[in-house]
Amino acid sequence: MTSFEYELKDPNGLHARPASEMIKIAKAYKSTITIVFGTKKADAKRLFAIMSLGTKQGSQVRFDFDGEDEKEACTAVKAFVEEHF
Amino acid sequence: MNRLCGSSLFAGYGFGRIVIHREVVAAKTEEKSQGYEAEKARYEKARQQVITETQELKDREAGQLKESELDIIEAHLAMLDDLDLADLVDAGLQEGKTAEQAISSASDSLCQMLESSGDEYIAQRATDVKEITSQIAGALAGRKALVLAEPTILAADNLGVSTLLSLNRKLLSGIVLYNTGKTSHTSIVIRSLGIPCFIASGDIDDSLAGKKAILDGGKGELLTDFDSRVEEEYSKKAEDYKAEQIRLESFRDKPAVSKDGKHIEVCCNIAKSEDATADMASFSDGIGLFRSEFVYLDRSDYPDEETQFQAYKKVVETFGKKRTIIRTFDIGTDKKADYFHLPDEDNPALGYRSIRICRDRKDLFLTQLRALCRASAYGNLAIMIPMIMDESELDYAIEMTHEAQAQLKKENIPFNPDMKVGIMVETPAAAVISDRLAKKAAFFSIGTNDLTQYTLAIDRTNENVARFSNPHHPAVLRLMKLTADNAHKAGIPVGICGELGHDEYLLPFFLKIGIDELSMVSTYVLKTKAMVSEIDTGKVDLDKYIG
Repeated sequence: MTSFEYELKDPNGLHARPASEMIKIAKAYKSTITIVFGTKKADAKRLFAIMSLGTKQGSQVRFDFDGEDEKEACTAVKAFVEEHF
Repeated sequence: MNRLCGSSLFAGYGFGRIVIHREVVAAKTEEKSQGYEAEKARYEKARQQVITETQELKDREAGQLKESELDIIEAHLAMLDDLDLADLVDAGLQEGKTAEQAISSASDSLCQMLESSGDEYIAQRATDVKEITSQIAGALAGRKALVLAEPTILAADNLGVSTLLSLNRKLLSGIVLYNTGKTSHTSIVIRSLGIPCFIASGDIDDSLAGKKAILDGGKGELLTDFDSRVEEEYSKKAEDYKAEQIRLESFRDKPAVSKDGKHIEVCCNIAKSEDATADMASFSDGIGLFRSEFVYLDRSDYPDEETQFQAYKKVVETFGKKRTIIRTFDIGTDKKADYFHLPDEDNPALGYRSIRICRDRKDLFLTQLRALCRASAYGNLAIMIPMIMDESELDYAIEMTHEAQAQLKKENIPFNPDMKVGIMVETPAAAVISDRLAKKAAFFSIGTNDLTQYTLAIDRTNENVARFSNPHHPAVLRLMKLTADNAHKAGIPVGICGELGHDEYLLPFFLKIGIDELSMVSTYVLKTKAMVSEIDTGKVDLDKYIG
């Protein structure tokens, strides 16, 4: 498994518009991608799941990647997240 | 003549024939599934149709839509493609539901999921879910897109943003909204498009369909079955309104300056951070009063420092270099938050409120001051303490502000060390000793509503005595002049916030006594600038007001 942690800078957390762009990237990989926020978890390929995490600015989240292309998936998602959230 | 009344959303007049639109189609529970494959195919076809329509709308309007409107459409496209929606619908179809029933129950589950996030912003996206799912349901029912053929007054139940944006704006002369809140996406978009509109309660009366109608958005009225005399009267009103709007618009970028060159700032009063818009920042000189108690009301527990910081920062950033004055909370038994556990009082206006609570509840006051000081790093923020009646209260507030700043400094959190701390002058006591208070306060803002009620001993919430109240009473005006004179002697600015800020009778008086700033409901700002431009302070006779 590959992971990275990130503190959200966007005032609205992981909100709809950039999240939907991130999903497009996530869907390009076979790996399972999970966002962990406290005790909640969400599939990074599902918009509603991500939105209902209720993250906001300052929230500490972790992205877990599991599968054959996890390294590549992590690099791509991390680059997007750092730029947009 | 028939008249339908409601609550104004956007002023202006509209003329046209009534078209009725209901966004949500209820799924019939008694219908039977045609089998999984058949229902799945129907659902997919409907979903694809909505995606195509939404995509076309986006491509067509991309150049004209605001960022926030585009956001909504983008979110809709993402939701239409979402796996959670697909899974929920599929599970419903597997259970033997029809496509209509499956989309309806999927919609409920997703809304619940978003509403349980505990985050207001996310919970609001439930509106978007309802909108896309009702569009799919509409497509399933074979509903054609709404197309306007002539000047139209739309009577719409649960109007969706996509539907609204898809309409020909040249033919959409007015809207009556049903089952839609003033802060919904739809309402926000209607205001930004400037369509005359009001919100009605109850259900749409189907007999209105096709009738000739006049809509008065400002009054919140829809007229039908009228004669030609009424029609003439209203087209005259509409023309006058338009001409007045054009005249007022010319003041948008101009400062308020009297005929003889006296300048006065004209600012806005707001209650919530969402009230502060970029548009407001463009036509006014700042925020003269942000009533921060609204950050505390309608909640079950105290807002924490972070929540408050975000609310204040948003306003301060929206206004940039223009000043935002935030009043520390004015909570009392008249504006009550249950979790404060305030005792019931016979006379709340003279009771335990605002700074008086702060003196006992240091923790509470310090949390707000920390949030305010943090927000001060992001723009031009000043704070204002309400209900001051003597110097010790102001000393306490300044001391607490310094304590908040010292804490932040220790924690390496940025703040503006030069943030100004001013006071509301709303008790006659503060006005009478304004010479002494002016030595310590960075500015004054006269709260006219409370100053009037305390000076005249008339409870502003008591209907029995309302007719005796007179905010033009020379006693109130003399206190204002005394306050202004003392402020200027000490070299500090003085403002007016409260209903009287845009009072046509008092405006010449305010300019004459050298009031530096007026703050009011944003809709009066341009009008006030226009009125100021017609005043010659050389011709104002003070005796008329206070003699």
